[in-house]
Amino acid sequence: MEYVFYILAIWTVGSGLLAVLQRNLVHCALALIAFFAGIAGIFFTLRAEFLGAVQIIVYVGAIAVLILFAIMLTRHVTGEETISPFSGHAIWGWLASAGVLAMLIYSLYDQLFIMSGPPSQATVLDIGNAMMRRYAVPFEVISLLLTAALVGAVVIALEEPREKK
Amino acid sequence: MYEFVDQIFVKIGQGIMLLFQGQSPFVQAFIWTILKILPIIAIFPGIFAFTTWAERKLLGRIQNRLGPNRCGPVGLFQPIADGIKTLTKEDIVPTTADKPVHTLSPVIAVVASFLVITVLPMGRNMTGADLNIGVLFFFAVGSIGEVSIFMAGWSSHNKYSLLGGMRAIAQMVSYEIPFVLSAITVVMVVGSLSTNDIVQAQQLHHIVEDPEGFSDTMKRVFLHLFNNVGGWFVFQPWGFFGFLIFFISSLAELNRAPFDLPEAESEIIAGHHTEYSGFKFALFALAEYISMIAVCGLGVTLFLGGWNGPHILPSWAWFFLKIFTLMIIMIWIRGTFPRLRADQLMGFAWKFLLPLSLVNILAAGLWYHIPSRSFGWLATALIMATAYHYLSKFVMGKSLEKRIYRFA
Repeated sequence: MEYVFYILAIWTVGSGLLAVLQRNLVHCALALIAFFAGIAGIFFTLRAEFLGAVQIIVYVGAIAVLILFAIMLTRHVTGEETISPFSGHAIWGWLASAGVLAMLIYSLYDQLFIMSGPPSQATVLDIGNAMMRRYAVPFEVISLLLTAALVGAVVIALEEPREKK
Repeated sequence: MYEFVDQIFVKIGQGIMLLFQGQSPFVQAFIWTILKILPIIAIFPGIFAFTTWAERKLLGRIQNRLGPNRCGPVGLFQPIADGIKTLTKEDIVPTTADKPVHTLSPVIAVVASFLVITVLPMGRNMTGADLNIGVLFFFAVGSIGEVSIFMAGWSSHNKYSLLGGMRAIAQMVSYEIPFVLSAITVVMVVGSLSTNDIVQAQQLHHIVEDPEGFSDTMKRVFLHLFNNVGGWFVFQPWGFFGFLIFFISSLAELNRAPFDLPEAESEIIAGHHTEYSGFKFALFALAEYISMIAVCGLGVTLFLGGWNGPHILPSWAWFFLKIFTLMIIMIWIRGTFPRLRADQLMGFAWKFLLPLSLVNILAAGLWYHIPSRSFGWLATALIMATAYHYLSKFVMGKSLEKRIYRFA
């Protein structure tokens, strides 16, 4: 099982690096898909099959396809050259990722170096109960937020009604 | 006797495992995995070859032609000739194409289509990988197919391919919603995502007592039929509509006629695989037909009772028989319906299938909570019929008025 983890880890880190370092935007997006698939594979090795499948559905099936679709709808369909991560413009990107990393370390600091036996197996039932009972309100708030974002996007995208002459 | 024929493949597998009895657990697990993978890789391309022949033959019949009839009896060896042809054909890659992506795309398509087959129960005790999230896994891996079509369309550096890729993604993203929502009803009622549990839930042995106790032959036959056929979810109102929605949106997911806009030959010359030749094209065809078999298999598992059937045929025979029936219906639809327009395609998914599948989920929930089965059946049937009636009126809109053809 450990070998599988190392293969997946190399795959995930490699494709993550490719997603950042490649210059062609579409290649970056495809590398990002490989990265998401690698993460899903790690979930599978941890016996969190539900999370793994959801990872593929949400990130590969929805978010990555959305990114690809967005690229397709722009004029630079052939894959615009991206800014190199080592150029001066990329400083904001570095700052943002450093912020995310700091937040993750801060919130996970207690469990960072603890490996206590095999991970407990969360069944679909547990996840469903947690989402629909204990965390029902946050869940609903998130869906409301997403709906509002969707409506906002539609309103922005709507063509202005033509004035009658 | 029935038990033996029914379990023959499982017995063969166990027999082979006996040869490796002394080996370490790792080797045994490895061999057992190989034994599960090999039949899938060996049998399904064979079915693919047969399906291409059947499709061409049937389409020929529908269009008043003969279809392939040169190779072997009634053209049965045509797939072999096709295979040799695609293998020996030159592999042409356009100079402006993005070569790595162009090459990877058919491979990803094939891998994704074979992966989903593993979760289908092909017979009693015959599931490749019995995951407890089988249905979810199917939809997850199935969505990778979209990426491969995008890769093919984009990397070919051809405007028709790109148009085909865009059409394919727009269509698959839209139809994925009713596709998944119709399957959710089954998951709700069974209370499990495992394909094995879903098939078991469609047997009625636990409700009706075993027919062995009855002396009357007719009664026994009837009860046997009822036990093995009566439990199929397609006989429930929500299951019937769920199956319809599932089947229609699966046609769109597979880019098959009448939803074949992404590869419309007459508009965008075969869309994403315009620039593919030789064996890469054959791989795309393989992926397409394997996913067709897999989606039909999922439809059979979810709504048509999986491998359940009267014990005149073994369970695996029932499974494949049902798949072939669904596939022949797909071919029949291809030969009969004209291609949809892009706006009709989107309108049909968002205005009709999506609301109907949402009502269907509501109906399935009601059916589950109404204690009386017959009353629940009637009530949900009424709800679904009303929803279907008004939604179809809404979608049809003004086009119900009689058309007047002046020059026709």
